[in-house]
Amino acid sequence: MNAILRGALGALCAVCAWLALSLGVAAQGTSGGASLRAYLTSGVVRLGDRVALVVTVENARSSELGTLPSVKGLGIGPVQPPAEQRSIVFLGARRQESVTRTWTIPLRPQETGLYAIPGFDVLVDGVARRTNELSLNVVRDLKGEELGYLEVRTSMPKVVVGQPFTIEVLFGFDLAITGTTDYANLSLAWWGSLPGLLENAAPPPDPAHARVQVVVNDREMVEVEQLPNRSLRGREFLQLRLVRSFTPTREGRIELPTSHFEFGRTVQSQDFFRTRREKGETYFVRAAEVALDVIPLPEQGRPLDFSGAIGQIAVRADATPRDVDAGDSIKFKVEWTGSGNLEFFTAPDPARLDAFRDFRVYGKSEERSLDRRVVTYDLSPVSSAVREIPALPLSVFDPASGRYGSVATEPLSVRVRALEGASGLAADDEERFRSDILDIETGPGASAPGEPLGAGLVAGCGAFVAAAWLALRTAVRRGGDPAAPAARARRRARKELAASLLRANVARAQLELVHRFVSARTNRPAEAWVGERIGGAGAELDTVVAELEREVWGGSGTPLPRERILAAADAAIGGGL
Amino acid sequence: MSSFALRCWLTLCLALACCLPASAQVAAGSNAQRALEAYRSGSHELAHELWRLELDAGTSASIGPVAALRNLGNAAFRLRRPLEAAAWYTAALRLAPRDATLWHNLEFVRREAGLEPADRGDLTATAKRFASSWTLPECERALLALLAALALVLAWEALRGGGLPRASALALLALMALAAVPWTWQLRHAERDTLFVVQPEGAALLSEPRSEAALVARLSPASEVERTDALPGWWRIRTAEGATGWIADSGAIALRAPWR
Repeated sequence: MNAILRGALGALCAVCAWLALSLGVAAQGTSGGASLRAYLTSGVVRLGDRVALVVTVENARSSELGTLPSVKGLGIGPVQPPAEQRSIVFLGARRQESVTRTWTIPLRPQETGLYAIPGFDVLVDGVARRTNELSLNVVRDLKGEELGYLEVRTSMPKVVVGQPFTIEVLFGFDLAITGTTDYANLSLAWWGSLPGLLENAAPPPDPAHARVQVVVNDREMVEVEQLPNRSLRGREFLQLRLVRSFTPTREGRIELPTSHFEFGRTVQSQDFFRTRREKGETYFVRAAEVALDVIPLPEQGRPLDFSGAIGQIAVRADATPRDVDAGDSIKFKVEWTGSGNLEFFTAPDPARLDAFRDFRVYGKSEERSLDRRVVTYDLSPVSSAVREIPALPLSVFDPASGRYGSVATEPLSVRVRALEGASGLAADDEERFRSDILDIETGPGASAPGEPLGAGLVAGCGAFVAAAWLALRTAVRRGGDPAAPAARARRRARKELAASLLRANVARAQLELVHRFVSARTNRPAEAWVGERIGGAGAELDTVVAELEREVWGGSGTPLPRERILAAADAAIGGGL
Repeated sequence: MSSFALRCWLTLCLALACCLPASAQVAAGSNAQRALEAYRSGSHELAHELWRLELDAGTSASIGPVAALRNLGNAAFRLRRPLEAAAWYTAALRLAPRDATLWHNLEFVRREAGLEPADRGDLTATAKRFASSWTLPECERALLALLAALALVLAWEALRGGGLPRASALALLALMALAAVPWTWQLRHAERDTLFVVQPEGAALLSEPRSEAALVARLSPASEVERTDALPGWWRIRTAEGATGWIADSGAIALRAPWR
């Protein structure tokens, strides 16, 4: 028994020892043995080629780059977030986890030469560890410089705030390699990141020039113009041009860092899944950095009505129609052209100019583009004394002379006729253009309402009508419902008798109609009145009935006159039948 | 002889009795004519005064109160007093509520004065315009006419019965109910002594009829308040919100006779 216990205890200790060993190894796998490595993607590169400093930290719970070193002539950065890779490996009973963080920091050599990149600190698990020193040899691409060219230039070396300028990139390669060149990439470090500049709308493409697509900064396809070929160094070169226009919004110095043009050919590779095109032999050519000074507008001599127009601007104007009546609308079209900030200046307002005091300005419409500004004013002459549309001035700053000036339209002659039946419209007679109150009343006008009768009278009349109606209705209903069928037949009896007698041409028919009349008036069946006499008020009708019976039973059947029967019926009704 | 003398005396008395109102009418007529000439010649202040005299002369004046009020409004507007013009037009519309010219002028001067339209065109304003579109005498006469027609129809119904007279009576009752809307409106509002605030900066509502009294509120321009009492130079008023106090009589215009 003791032996069994001892064996079990030993086995338990062995398991615990194995577990402790395993956990210890695993812990060492995740926290211990962190490594730091820094290297260049290439130790020797051509000027303009891409090269990067790669920093890798393995098996660290946390890591962070310190301050990057500064090397003259070598741009370092910007630093992007690191790529992180985690892997867990089980080796038998061991679990091994590794974490790798990698920073890829682009380097931009400005010149050829040997660059020494000193070591810099990297915080690994809270401990500063220093990278090793690296060296980069940048050499000229002599063949690229021979086979291609790149020029970056601004339209002027100095501009004032608000003055548009262009950046022109001219590039190309030897026509002799056109057949083997199918790759072009412009590396423009300043592309899309020029502070203080407002990019203007692109000018319309020249239809005389072909358009081709090139890559900018390895990621963006841009359309450029293909200009006529260019002779350079005794050879013919393909010439491409990229132009962008900007308007500076603040003073300062704008620097365009070194630009590169990479061109060459691509090679095609194919694997099981896809076909890829990769860069093959490429060449680099470089353009020196360019700077541009932006200076503020001078205060001296600035007109109070300065429109903000800068540049060399020309103007012309037209007006239609020119033969109008006073008050009619004239479309006064002014077009400014030239090299200037045509899109941004404030067009002059004729309503604020004394010269236009004989005109009403109803409004304006504008069309803006890079090369022209068209404003159409809606003017209306208020007087037949107007002979011309005066000159419309625009204050302009001319950067070439450094002075403020003015460009004005030529006065345009117009003919304004007086309104028919009017003496003309005075400029100060604004009332004529407006709606107004209607004129005074010169006659007696509407009469004032009379005195009110009083609410009591109206209410009393209403109450009286209601009471009278109720009384009358009650009294009438005592004798029966006047709307009952019998009552309505009684009221209709006289009318029906008169109508029926028109069609009765024998005494028998007349006798039947009289019986029907008496029946309707007395609410008794017609048969009940055969041989009966009405008596009283109906004596006359009884006589008529007796005569009709004699005619019927006597055999002659001669009808009585209709008027006599009706007269007897009326007499009976009048007697209360 | 005595009989002749008596006849002469009676003739003289009759002539005098006829001439007195005629002379008054001539004077009033000459005032209206002078006002018209003054207005046409651009003397709007004089025209304003004369029409004011015409208005104060009462209904016997030659052009009538509606025309006098309208012309006063025109003169006030020409004198660049659009609020006062709006007051006169509002007063005139109380006498002739369907006068299109008055409505046009009122809305115009209110727009010029920066006020919102008297008829905003929404449902409430349209209902109010309908309710106030008849004067009280017109409402009464319309109701009495409808009542007479109703009496006839009811008599018909009482004597003959039947559906047609009953339907006619119901139709007339519906018409009377419709006519009763402006009547009840006018009963409630026409007899109210309303003032129209014409001071552009509003009228100060004071606790007592003296300028040093405590300020209770400031009445906005073109607001209408009810006059409840008067003292020389002061009017006691009650606002629509129920606030009472005194305002100077120069700050408002009465919208019904007497116009002062």
